[in-house]
Amino acid sequence: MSLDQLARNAGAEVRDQAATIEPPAPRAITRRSRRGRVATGAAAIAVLALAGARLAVALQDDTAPTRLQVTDDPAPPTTLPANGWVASFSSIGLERFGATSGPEEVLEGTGTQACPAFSPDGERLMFGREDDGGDGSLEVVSVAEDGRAAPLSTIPLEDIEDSRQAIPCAIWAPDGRWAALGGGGSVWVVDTETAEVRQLPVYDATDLEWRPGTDQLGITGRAEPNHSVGGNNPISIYTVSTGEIRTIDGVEAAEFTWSPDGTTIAYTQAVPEPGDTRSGISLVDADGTNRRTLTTDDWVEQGIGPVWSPRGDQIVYQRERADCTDPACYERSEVILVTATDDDPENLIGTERFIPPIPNDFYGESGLDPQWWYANSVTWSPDGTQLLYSGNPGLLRVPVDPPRRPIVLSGASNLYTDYTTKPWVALQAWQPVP
Amino acid sequence: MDVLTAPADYVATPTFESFFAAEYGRVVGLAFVLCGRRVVAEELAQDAFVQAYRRWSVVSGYDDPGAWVRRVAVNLATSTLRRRSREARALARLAGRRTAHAELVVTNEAFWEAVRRLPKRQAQCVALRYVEDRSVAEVAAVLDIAEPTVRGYLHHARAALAVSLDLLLREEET
Repeated sequence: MSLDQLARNAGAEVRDQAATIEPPAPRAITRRSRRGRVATGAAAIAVLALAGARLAVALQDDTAPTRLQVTDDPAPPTTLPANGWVASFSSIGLERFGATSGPEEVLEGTGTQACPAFSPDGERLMFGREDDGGDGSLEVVSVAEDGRAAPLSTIPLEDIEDSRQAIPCAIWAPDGRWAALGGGGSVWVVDTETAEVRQLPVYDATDLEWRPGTDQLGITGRAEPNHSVGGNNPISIYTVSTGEIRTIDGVEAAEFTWSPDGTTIAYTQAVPEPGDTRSGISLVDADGTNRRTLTTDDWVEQGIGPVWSPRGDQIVYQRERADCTDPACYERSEVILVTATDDDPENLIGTERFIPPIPNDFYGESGLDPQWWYANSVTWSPDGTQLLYSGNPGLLRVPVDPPRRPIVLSGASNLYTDYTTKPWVALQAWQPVP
Repeated sequence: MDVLTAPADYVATPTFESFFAAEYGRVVGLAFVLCGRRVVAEELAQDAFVQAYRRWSVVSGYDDPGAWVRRVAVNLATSTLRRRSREARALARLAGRRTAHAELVVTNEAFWEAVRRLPKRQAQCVALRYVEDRSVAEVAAVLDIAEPTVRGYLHHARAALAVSLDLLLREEET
């Protein structure tokens, strides 16, 4: 019997019995409601007392997250690449924050393109396309300063389809030539100049990221078909020029990110209970030595993260809001910025600042609950001063250095359709401008 | 004198009583597969309906009040802390009864045990998909998340279930 058949049978069995369950008299509910209000009043007093105590602790404890103070100050100068267009999913559009006009359309949408990624020089845009029969392809277009795009190449990827969809979601290597993606049960490395395609013997990648300044691809994924340790897998390094794959000894991770200088990996591990939970962030040198702890608290996963800032001084990740008590408040996630400088490698504990959930006016107008911005992913602008939230229903720019008010990118939609299985996709959605 | 008549597309706001009677059993079934005991599932379901009752003037205006109460119920059922408090309360109430509460009889307990070991969002998606026979779009609407998100959770859930159930079968064989 297939898994799907088993699930359907199991579901039908419960469904049939549930249909025969007699409800208690409605007054049982109304009585409980009245009892609950009394209890809630007492609980509210307790919560207020607890909140006061926690605030007092937070003021004394350097390791407790601190709230970002929003200002309207201008952004500081930076030597990193500036920020250009932001590419959005769904008809692959290019947009600029603050623009009054709609997006520049790169390609007329058919609903089968996704996952836009800017090349390191900012001159090309790559995105995935679903083709007929379970195949997919990567499209590469040039992008002019005014946002006009012109086709450059199409790279077919046969049998990329997995149980979800066949849209390939690739990221550029630092050389701007090779690209990597996960899908169809393996990891694919693609030469965008020659259309050479290599399939690596790594199964079901849970995270991918190129090591800055190198031709080495970091991968978390199963090294053998049935290897899985509570959602954690070895970190492998694939070198394009030699074709070698090596595994970092003794490190099992769920997600990871490279430091901008390529010397360090920050990673989190899945915690089996109670599920969906990630460990605090650990650091390890690229050769697998010098493991140390950056943050200690477990957190409930919400989308992408951690992602190291282009400046190297901070790591960002998302987590479920710690004080989520409303039963309908899941996905009201908060974003955490962690200091990641190696000032004290012997006792490295990052200081955390948090950006609280952002109210979503679109939902507010509809009167539906919850009325919060669903950030499916969070990553950095090329200049490292701002965050890009991709979520429902669009893209949000959140200046963090210094903190300023979030700005909605008008008309944009999500970056991609499947962030839970391809968490690397948002990394290159914002165009670097040399 | 004009006679006021309802337009053809008018849909009367359901009373809480009729909503409760129509939905209660199904919400219990949903909670049951996520917590594993009928008495706890009933406790969770009733808590969800209490919340619906308290804000019925708002919830009754939703296109699908049943989706809202399911979202609350599955969130309660997959919150370890909240579930444990309901378990304690349910067991305390059960201890005072003369007759045992009839459990739901499931022949696929291993399957639901494996589902309960999944991360909470995956478990919620599986429960809604198979217990309620809902489409991906309907699951997304109930959980108030995007359809692609649901597809991702279901994909991960199926992969994990395939591994864990295969292991269970092997253990039984030996």
